[in-house]
Amino acid sequence: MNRKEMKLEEIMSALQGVIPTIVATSSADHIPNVTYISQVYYVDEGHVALSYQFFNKTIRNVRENPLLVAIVTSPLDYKLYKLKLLYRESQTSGEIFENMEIQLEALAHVKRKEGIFKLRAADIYEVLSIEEI
Amino acid sequence: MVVPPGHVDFLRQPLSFWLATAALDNTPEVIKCTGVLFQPETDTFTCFAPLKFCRTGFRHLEENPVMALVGVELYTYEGYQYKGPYISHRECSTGEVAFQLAYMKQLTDILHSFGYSGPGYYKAYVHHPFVAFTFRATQVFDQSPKSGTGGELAKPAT
Repeated sequence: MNRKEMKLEEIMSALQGVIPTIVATSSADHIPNVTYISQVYYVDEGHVALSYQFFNKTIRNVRENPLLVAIVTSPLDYKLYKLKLLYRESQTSGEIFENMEIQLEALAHVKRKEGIFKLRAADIYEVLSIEEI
Repeated sequence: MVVPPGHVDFLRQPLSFWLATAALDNTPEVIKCTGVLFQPETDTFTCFAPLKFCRTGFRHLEENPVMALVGVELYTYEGYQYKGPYISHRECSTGEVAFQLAYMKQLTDILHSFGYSGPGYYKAYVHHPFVAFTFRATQVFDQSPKSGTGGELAKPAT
């Protein structure tokens, strides 16, 4: 298992939304939750944004316990990366939100799922660690 | 019973399965699941996974014996999440390993039909040895991508 410290810029291929991302959260009373999301969006070297569409329990969990683990997959070599993330804020307008909305619409078109990929918010997370698994 | 009877057939399909655990400090963990067997009489799931993905999950289960499993159908995105108390884990039998390899072959064939590399996916997730987790579902949630998703399903009448 590779434990070296990694940077977001090294895993950009895994952040394109080609392969859906798995996210796990925990409620304040330690009940795990696991689901899929469409997109992890690169914000800057220390932050990503997750698409908030309709994954309600995930949203409720990170508001009471801000830790989230995401598994992203590179479509080039199928390497898996575990991102440990800390929820910071939710944005419903601005450049990040608008760019994510455009990417999400493109993904929806490719997957023929127009209408269900509506973005409610771009949730901003600080990247605590990245690990290849 | 809490798992709807219709899920018995649903769970026999080559769904994409993932497990999750949580530590008592509320750190979550994800485990790639390489196959599931469901026992409807007891609402019990046996979930298979490569040992290399399970180290953190083992630690979590020692202090907080609760598991979550999501299963999603790849064509329609119909999906459900099952949660409940962890019962045990053990090494997989030879038959269970064969079951997982057949399941992963079916899953990668589907992904290949979407344009993904079947061999690449198989190589990423199939790692010997494998372990089998058992947990009992006490809650079921709709995870299909639609408005209102995430809601708990009503328990079937007994």
